[in-house]
Amino acid sequence: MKNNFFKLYIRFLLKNKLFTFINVFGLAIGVVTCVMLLKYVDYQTSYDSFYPDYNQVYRINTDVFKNNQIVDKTAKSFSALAPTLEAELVEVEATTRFEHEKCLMDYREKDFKINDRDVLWVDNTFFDVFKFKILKGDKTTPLTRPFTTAISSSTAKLYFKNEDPIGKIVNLNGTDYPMEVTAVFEDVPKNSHIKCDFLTSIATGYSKGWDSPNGNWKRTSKYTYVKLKKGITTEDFQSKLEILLNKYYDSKTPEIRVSLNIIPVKDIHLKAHFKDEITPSSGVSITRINFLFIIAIIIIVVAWVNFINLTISKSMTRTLEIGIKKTLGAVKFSLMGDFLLESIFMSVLAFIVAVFLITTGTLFIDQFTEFDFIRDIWTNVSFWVQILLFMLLGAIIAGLYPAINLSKLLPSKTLKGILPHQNMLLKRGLVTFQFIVAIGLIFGTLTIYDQLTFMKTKELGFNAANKLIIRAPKSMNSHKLAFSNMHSFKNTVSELSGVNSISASRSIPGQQVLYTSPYFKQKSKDKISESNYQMAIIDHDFFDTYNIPLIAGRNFTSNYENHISDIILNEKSVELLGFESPEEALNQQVIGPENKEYTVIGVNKNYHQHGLKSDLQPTIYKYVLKYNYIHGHYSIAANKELLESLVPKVKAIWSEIYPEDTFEYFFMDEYFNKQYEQEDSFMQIFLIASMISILICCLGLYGLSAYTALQRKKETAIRKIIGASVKDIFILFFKEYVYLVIFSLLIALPISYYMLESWLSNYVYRVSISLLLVVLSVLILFAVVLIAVLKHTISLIKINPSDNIKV
Amino acid sequence: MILQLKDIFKWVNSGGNRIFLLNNVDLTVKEGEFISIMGASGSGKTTLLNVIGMLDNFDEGEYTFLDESVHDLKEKHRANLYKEYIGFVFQAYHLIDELTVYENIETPLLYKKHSRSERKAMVADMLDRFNIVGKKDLFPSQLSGGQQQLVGIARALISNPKLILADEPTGNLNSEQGEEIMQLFKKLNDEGVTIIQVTHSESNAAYGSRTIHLKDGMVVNNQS
Repeated sequence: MKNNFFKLYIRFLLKNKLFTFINVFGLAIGVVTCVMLLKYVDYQTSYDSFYPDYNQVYRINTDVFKNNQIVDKTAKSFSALAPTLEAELVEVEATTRFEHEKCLMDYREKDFKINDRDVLWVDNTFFDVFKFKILKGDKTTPLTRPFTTAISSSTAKLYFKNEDPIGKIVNLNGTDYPMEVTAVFEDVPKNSHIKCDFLTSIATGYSKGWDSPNGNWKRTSKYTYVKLKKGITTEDFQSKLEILLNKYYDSKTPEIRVSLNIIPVKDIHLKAHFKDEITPSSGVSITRINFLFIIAIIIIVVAWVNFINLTISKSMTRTLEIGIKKTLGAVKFSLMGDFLLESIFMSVLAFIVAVFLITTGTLFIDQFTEFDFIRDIWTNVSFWVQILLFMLLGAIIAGLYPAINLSKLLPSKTLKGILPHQNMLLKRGLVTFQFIVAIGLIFGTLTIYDQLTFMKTKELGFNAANKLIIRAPKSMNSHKLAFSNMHSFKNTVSELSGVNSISASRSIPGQQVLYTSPYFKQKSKDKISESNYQMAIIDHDFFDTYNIPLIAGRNFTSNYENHISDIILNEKSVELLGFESPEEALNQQVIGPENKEYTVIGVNKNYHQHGLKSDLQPTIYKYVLKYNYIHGHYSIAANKELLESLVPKVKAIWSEIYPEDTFEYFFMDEYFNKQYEQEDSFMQIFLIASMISILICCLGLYGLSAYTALQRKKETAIRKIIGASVKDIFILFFKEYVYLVIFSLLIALPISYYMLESWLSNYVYRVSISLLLVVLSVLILFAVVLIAVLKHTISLIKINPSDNIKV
Repeated sequence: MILQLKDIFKWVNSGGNRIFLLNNVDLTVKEGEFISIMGASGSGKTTLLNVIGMLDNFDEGEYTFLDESVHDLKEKHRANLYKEYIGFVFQAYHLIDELTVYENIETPLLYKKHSRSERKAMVADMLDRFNIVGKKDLFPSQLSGGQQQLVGIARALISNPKLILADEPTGNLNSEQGEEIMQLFKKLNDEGVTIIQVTHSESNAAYGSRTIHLKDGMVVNNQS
């Protein structure tokens, strides 16, 4: 019996190629997609949980309130907090603080320098909290002395090749900071919110005088981490923290108040999207990860439903075979075994297809290359076990139903060709489920696409095209020549042909403005507004360079000394400061931080500094002055045709004026769109996942309607004989699906509407859910149903009724 | 005269040989006749019935049905013709399992332009005539074979056909039920319906006015 079991089954599969293909392919693609998504979800939730005692480590964030309204949430806190905690709270096992800076790191001995290295200025307690392994050098106190640095192992390879890095000197931002390498630590895994190439000792800052060990309670300038002793609850610590804050912190302005909050390190990646994050807005949030998780589950369920549905339908056509087997002596159990074995065999085929899909990299690989788990996918046993397990599980459920139902049929009936009564409710239920999923995903996909297109095409209020941006020279930080060099660079470049204007500014569109402050109000009013103001540092060419119009007053002039206490406001800050109109704001006094007085000289039109992911911010523009010129950017507006050819010319000027610094440039439009990159890649994953489940639904529908048509062959023949026309038959079949589609719509539309609303509510600038897209999704589904039904109805109509009703 | 077959041939090619399913069949049927077709298995009885019912094509010859030349007609017209004038009764009844007795009988009317109230009256009339009013809401699987066949005949009659074609109508029934069905046919014939039945049973054939014997697709005798 078993000998020809496979022979029989393989012949059956070959005879039913469409069925075999749909079943195997559907299951394979479903399982692969699901497991890949689960891996992705797993990866995203695994952030910062790779060192042993991660669940004792927390970061302390600061919320700023103005008149009890929250105006700012920052990832940093007061620099005095950590030493105070260590001194006063017994719950604390260790604390550490750091500041993040992008630096030019220069290994002079070999004349090897790279800009924009991630540098953390850390306390010497860094390794007490973050247990990264030290591979070489001083394993106990590597960062205690001033001018010392620990480097990651990949940085060591990059800078020193085969040399021993310990004791070598690397210069930080020019010649003032020669840092001695004291240790090499293992690379921080990619799934960490901390990114660093160099850890530099904060003692350097103490010896240079720009930082002090005890810090202050004035500005939130440092990332502060605390490792609690085992058994300390967060609520407990949080309340101690409040007491401590009240004891030491004094805002000096009654309207302003702050609070400190702790967040477990492992939650930072998905849940903390605050200001000043080390890796700003990754586009991945806990809601999105949950979304993907749900989709992964939906996909696997749809794939299983498909498999079950098809297997059941197909087995109905094999009742004669069962009858014959029974009369030949097969008992119920051996028949059940056969059915199960068949399903398992089918899922093994699906597994082979899955391996093929993964090897050829047709699924997702592009989106996932940045993640570690893809690289070692072949040796990842748990991955393959998961895939096989998901397949077998579906197969067994799918095999069980026919195994139980068909094996008990009486041969006396099956041999006569009397078909067992089909469980229509089950079948309709399964199809309805697929419809619900399909309609939801089509609708969701269309809406999300709509939102993305909206964000990319909306007018931003400034001109990003044809801008060459150069990162300002780091060696000039607090250098006495910084200001005069800036002027000579600007002047020389502006004389090049093709250059329309050049501007120096602290930040550029697409970046977070470096300083924000709640301490602004009109001098003539006591009322203070509930908001936080961005302080942008620009020069007189900034607005021209980016084509941002002034709507009242005047711009800064090149004579900077006249502008020491002048500011320009954007419309939003005019409104929030309580001026009636832009004109009214002109020449008015505004009080800023530390009670400095400023005069409003102009008002510019709002523009979207951060794209459309965040709301318009009230912004106050100050002039680039000698003392506050720290590294920022040069923006060059140029003619489109000459833009590319300008690069070498500008570079030549650069090397003359800034011989110490590397020349790094990019184009504004590309850079600005980069902030949507994560968004895009996430969307792509979502879109592919949706497409795949829609595809599986379609495959299932197609296969199923084929079998429904087959089973209703006799009925069709009878109806034809008693007078049904082609149209009548078609309507008969289509009507059945129409009811199911309508029923599915009633369920799917409210659910997906709710989910999409909650998705869209994360966007400040969002589309509203359009009725057009609802209609479009319904039409797409109907089109699919129509095609599937039409295809099979036509094949039925062609047949001669007299062939189908002989008994 | 309701129909006339003249020199009808139907064949299939198997290997190099041509096997005749119908071989030079001549047949004239007058209105009000009750004809029985008899013959061994494979003699071509059902094929002949299918050709008469226009469910199947033939390869050669002429077929005239109510003065229309069927061999010249297009598929669609042919279908209209048999829908209008012919009712079918099958050995295995061929009721639609998912429909009730009432709905089964009503189905042919749905494919013609009858109003809802008209349909209701016609079906009620038919249920009454066959004494199955009490069964109208049952499904075929809840009926005995004889009752199912009764429904099958009612369905065939509902659109007032001129001709009833019955393929072994009593083949699946016991003798008592068979007797009832034949009595019913007799009665219908007396009312003026033309009937052609295929049967194995001499006693069933005796209800007819004429018997045609087939052998290997040929009419061997044609006795009145």
